[in-house]
Amino acid sequence: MRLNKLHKYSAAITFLAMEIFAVLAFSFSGNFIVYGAISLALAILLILFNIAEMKIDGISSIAFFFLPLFLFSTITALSVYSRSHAYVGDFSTVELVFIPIAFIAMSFTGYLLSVDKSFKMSTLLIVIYSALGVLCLINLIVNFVNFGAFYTVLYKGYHMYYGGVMSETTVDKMAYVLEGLKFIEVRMPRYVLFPALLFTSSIALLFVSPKENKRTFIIYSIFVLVSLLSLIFVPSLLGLFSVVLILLIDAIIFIYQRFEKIRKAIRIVILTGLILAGLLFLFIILNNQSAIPFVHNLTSGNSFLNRLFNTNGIINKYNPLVENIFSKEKFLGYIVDNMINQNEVHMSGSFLFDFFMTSGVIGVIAFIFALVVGFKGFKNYFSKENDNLYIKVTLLTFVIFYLAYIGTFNDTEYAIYYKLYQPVYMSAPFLIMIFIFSYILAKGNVAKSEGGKEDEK
Amino acid sequence: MKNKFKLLILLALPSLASCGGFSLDYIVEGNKYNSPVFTENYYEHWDNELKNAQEVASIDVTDKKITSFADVGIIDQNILLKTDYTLRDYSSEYNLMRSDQSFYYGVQSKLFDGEAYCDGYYQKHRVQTNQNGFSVRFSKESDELTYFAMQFKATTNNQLKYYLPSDDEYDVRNDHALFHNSVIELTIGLYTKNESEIENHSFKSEITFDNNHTNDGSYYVFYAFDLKEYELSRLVGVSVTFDIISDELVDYNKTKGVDIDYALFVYEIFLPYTYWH
Repeated sequence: MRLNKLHKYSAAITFLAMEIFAVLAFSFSGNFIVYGAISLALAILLILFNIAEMKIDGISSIAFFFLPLFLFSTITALSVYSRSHAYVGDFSTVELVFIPIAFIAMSFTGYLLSVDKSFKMSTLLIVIYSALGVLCLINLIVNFVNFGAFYTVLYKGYHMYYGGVMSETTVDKMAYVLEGLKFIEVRMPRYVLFPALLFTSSIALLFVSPKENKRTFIIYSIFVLVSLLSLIFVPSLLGLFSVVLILLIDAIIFIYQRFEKIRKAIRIVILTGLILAGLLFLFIILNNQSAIPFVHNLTSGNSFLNRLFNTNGIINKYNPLVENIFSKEKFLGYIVDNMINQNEVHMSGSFLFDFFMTSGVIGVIAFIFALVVGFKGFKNYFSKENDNLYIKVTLLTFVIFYLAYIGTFNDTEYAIYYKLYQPVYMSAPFLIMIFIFSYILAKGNVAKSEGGKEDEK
Repeated sequence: MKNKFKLLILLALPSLASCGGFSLDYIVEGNKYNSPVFTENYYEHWDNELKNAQEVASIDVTDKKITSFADVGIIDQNILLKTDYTLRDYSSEYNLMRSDQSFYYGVQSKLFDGEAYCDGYYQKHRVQTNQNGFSVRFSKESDELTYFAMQFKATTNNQLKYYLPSDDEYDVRNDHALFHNSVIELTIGLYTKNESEIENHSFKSEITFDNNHTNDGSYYVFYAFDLKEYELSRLVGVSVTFDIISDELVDYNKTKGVDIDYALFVYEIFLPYTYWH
């Protein structure tokens, strides 16, 4: 009974949740224990203060997302890969313990905030983007101070000396970012990630009317401006690619939402694209299994297929990661980077392939299953009158872009001079993505009358 | 008020954008100073303020200097507190990077990283200088100096043709044949701040050593001199220059009309027991 009375203080806890998400969006710490601990603390507080609002069918709405994710995170934490890296000091055992804890906590946070009446997703989005914006501005200013504007163009091919060693990375491919409480030199994908994530707010400008909702429009315009400034003053191909990709996602979602007549066509195109990508992914995996040599024989026998599947710069990164992954030694994750055996395999930069190493076949299947459930959840979420449309499309754009980015340009060892090892699932934006999925799953499950539309005007 | 705020924002970014440059001092183009071609690796940077500093003292430390030619046992009990130190132990403990973060930046950081020997990969740990010398400007100032120490070796460019004095043979490129005697006058400039002025204290000494290309530790020269009696503090920079007094190979080839490039490979500069602020 006492716990039931606590829910009147839930506004204060919602405020705390906002602050915690600001810390996460700011990527305030390179240590996953911090992210895990604050996620756990937030989930516990939300359970205590919202216990009256919790319902079994609500929790079951996120179960199909949460359970495979739990399986993925547990396998990851226990895998040979994780234990080997913990052994050499890349991260601690406590950090590994916090992987499933943080994932569970974030899933519950998504559900609990979706039922919290004092919580508004519109406010949280502004908090997350503001934290990203502040981080982008700080990073931009520190790059101005160190290198000046447009240094990636002006000093192309230059190297930096630090600690008596010439950097392997040239100046045009590095940038300064705030990491915890210090500024460090990182490779470009790490710098671009934050302004690019901030630029996902651009879709809101297509769905918010500047006349009816002027304040929101101005706030989102500032987010877009800050992200563009960060990418223009530190120009890079990766930044340009990210902006183009986000604009493409924006355009597809905008056309899909505004033009009902061609919805079906767009759906067919996207579905076909996904099926083709899935088949390609499957074929790459099969091509690298020595147990079924006929697939490899087929690709290596034809010069075009050989070039496509065996001998180009991109596929060369992915192939070693999926080689014989169904073998007993590799099925539940394996070791990399020449630590124990001599078979050096590097992270490919794509979570889909890297997860075979970190979490094994079961882990990858579990994670893909969670993603499919998550994206199916968006369908329900969009069909319910719960949040304003601009919030829905912004969340969708954020998730699609983030997955596309970590599916191609993820950098596990992004620091140039410091020893930092951060697999993508131990980063703050990943936790935000988990939160978004569980939030939309729970929100999509809430009946029309319970959800209540937010008044944004 | 609103307009002023907008103006402030409009002016702030261009101003910030133009203020860059802190790290530009630490970047180099392409593979500079790391080339397999001998003559492309000379580090000839001179800080303007140090170059124009007034020389207030020129001190000959030839008789006071300490030189050691082997990486075994003690170097000198007067300087090293621990008598069972090898130079490797010494350099890993007294390198300047350990005393302050500011020594981590720039090409010159090779002089402060505790790597006092060649690792066989071109210029990775050394600064190559000719008789023009070089200077290093520190971003911080020291308190009182105790002594100066430096690890170096000398070498000639074996990528060119030359005469070998022993048998008057031309076009010799065998490393082992290059072993010969060399005498230089080494000048270490220590630049201190006196109010706003920078003053140069030159410490000169004549050093005789074996000039050779091999990586055998015995051809490295550990050179040091005591500074306590001079009561120097507020050190803001250091320079290294030298003159060749005699060199068997250089002198002989000069008589044949062949100029040989002669360089010092400076591996490490030590200023032990100093604090930086």
